[in-house]
Amino acid sequence: MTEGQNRQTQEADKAALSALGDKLRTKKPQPDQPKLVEGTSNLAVGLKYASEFTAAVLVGAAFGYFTDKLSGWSPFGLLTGLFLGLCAGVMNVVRAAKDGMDAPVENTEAD
Amino acid sequence: MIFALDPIKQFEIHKMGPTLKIGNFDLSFTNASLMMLVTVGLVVLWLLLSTNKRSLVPTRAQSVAEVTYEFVADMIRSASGKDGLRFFPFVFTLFIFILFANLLGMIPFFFTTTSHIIVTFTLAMMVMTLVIGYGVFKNGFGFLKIFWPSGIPIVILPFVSLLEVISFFSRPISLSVRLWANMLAGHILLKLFAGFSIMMVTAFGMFPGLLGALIPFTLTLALTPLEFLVAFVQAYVFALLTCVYLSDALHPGHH
Repeated sequence: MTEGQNRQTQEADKAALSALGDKLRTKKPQPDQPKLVEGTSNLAVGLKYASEFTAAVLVGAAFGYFTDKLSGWSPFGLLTGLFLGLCAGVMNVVRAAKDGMDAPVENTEAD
Repeated sequence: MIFALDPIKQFEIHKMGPTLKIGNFDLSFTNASLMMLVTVGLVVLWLLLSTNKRSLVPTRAQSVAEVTYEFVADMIRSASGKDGLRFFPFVFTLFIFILFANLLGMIPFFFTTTSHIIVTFTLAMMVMTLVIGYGVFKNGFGFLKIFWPSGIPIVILPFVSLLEVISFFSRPISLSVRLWANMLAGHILLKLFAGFSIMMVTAFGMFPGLLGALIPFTLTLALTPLEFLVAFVQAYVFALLTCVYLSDALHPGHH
């Protein structure tokens, strides 16, 4: 009798276990695409945004400077370049922040 | 003593062997070149040895190499799609080179190649050259679509496309500055805190000095594993961004 009971509980356990396994599988987040994980060090996060912003401003300023050199519109080329670089810098920062929040970077079908 | 504690001294470049000049360029062999050679040599040695006896059931060394391969391949697949895999050799080389250079820099008295902006900038320019070269080769003028985003009112489209141009040319700078600044700042921090604990002992003697050295020493201890993490993460970020940029070359006008 104990033998039969044992088997019965074992069967029941097995069923319960597999049900639990199924439940866990649906709950568990699927292993997704790698993200731009830079949250590991505050320095890295800061440098990420700083470099994105600074780089755009520098490039904008360089564009403006060479426009001035070539056309002699000084100083308006540099001013416009700096302004455009600033805008591009903000755009870069927004993009970088977005990547951190909702990467997978390329597989959003929205755009 | 001050000399040995100077946190910037570790980044100095020394000539090794004879001076080699071509035109105005000084092409002498330096400690930076030596470290790059060591990096490349180690990578080659590692991959050759670990795949020496290829077997279906991999040995420990072989499975490490296989995991690395899979890691990079997955990264490319997710960031630039299946057709991005044609760039696998390039991305893999970049990733492994930067990773090894960063990690080798963590060994005391070793020179960190990636803490020099010219090295990281060269790597970033290689990426950009490949993106532009392959993008134009594959799409012709269609490559210019990356500067012409869709779904934007025509009134501000020229303005936005100007911003896109600037943003595109800022990529190599931000890519290289990020890796370089992380390595530079990390190494300076480590050296500073380690130097502080030595200064404490030399300034205040054994008893109060050692007590005072406790804080900077603990910080050094805490920073060291963090630096190893940064070494890996920065190599990963560099490679991942390379994939993202390469996907622009493959599918322009898709973002």
